[in-house]
Amino acid sequence: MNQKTSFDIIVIGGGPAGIMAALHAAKNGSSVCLIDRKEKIGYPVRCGEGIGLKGFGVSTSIKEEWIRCKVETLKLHAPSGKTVSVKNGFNGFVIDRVKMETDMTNEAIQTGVYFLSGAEVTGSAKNGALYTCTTSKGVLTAKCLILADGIESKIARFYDWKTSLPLKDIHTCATAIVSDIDVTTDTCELFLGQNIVPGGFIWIFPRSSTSANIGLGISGKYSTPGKPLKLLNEFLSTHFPKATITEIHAGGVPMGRWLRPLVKDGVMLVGDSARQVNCLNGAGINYSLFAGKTAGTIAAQSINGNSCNYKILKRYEKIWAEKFGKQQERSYSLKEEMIHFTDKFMNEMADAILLRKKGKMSLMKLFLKAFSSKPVLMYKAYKLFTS
Amino acid sequence: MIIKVNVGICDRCGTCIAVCKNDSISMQKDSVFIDRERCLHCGSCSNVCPVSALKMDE
Repeated sequence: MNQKTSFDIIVIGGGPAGIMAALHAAKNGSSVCLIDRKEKIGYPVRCGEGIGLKGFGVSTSIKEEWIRCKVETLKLHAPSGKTVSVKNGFNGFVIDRVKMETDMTNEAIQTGVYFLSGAEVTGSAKNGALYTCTTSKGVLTAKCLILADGIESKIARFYDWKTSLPLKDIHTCATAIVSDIDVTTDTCELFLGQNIVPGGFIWIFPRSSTSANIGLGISGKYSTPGKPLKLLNEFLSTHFPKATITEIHAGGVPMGRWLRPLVKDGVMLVGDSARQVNCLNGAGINYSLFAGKTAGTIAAQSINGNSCNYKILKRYEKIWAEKFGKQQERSYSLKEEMIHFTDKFMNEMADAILLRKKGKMSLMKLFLKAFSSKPVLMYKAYKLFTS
Repeated sequence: MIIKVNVGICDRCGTCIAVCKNDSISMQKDSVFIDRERCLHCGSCSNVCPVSALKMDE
């Protein structure tokens, strides 16, 4: 059987950003090919699977069957071992990403998207008015490309984007799916401390009352070969010695500013490949869904209007910059400061918070306190939490 | 000095590819592959590898 090789739009990468881009491009009338290197959608999960409710609702509605746990409380563990609980510190869900991505991909296929799985893109170039993608399953062409190839952001390098991340702007991570433990299903826990997790944090996201996604990310600046996995194993054996570990995976999270430009003639970047990640908590799903939806819609509109040049596609960049771009940059500035927090400073903060027993401690107040000697960062923290 | 890939350990997460300054690493079926002609031997990929699949060999 001869497969179709020519499309209006090719989307490379089948994560949240790529699937949304393909779905919305097809909804707006384009012929779309979505290429993913994996055979099985969404697997393996290299993610904590936590999403904020507010940001998610901007792009799509959540399905009941995607939800594992509803989370309201954020419990922070200071290096001293003292804990601070922030009610409504994390208002969102722990989701089943494989289920979510499978459903979304099926919707895209039903909308007309041609899904090419198990295909590796090894090259891409502009040939006249068309863009060619060389894959392990043949050569494909399109009038417009949407690059959603994740942390690697390798395809963008064929179009002269400099996507290599400096070590300080990447978190190197290890995550485990853990069962036979006791966890509180409405609470997500974070552990801080330069010894146990330098320049990053350990997370416990509940999957049920007896299982969790437990992982950590450390700054690339402080990493040595295999350090994330080693630290995770140490943490698990200390805190959950009787747990059953069913899966362990590695991963990286971009912690830099979002890439500028986001578009060039006929080519758009979305999701992790565009570095659209909140640098305070490493969350990227909501940004990715929004970027994918916006880029897919604008790409299809430009195909309908017969031109995919920079001038037309850059509307996506403008919309992103206004909606989440400024917020993302503020998270970057705060991360740059927080990477230098000492254990002593974090312990003092926890003690100060625990002293004020009355009154609710919001996450925003916590950040304002952390940056109290730096008015510019205080303002950025305020804007980040109020925008 | 060269970087060696331990194929059995590599989880194909691509973190090394993201930090490579000279686009020397590509994803293969079972693990990443390092193009020795392009490699600058900076060691960044090895340092960020979460599972220690990339080792500097003196």
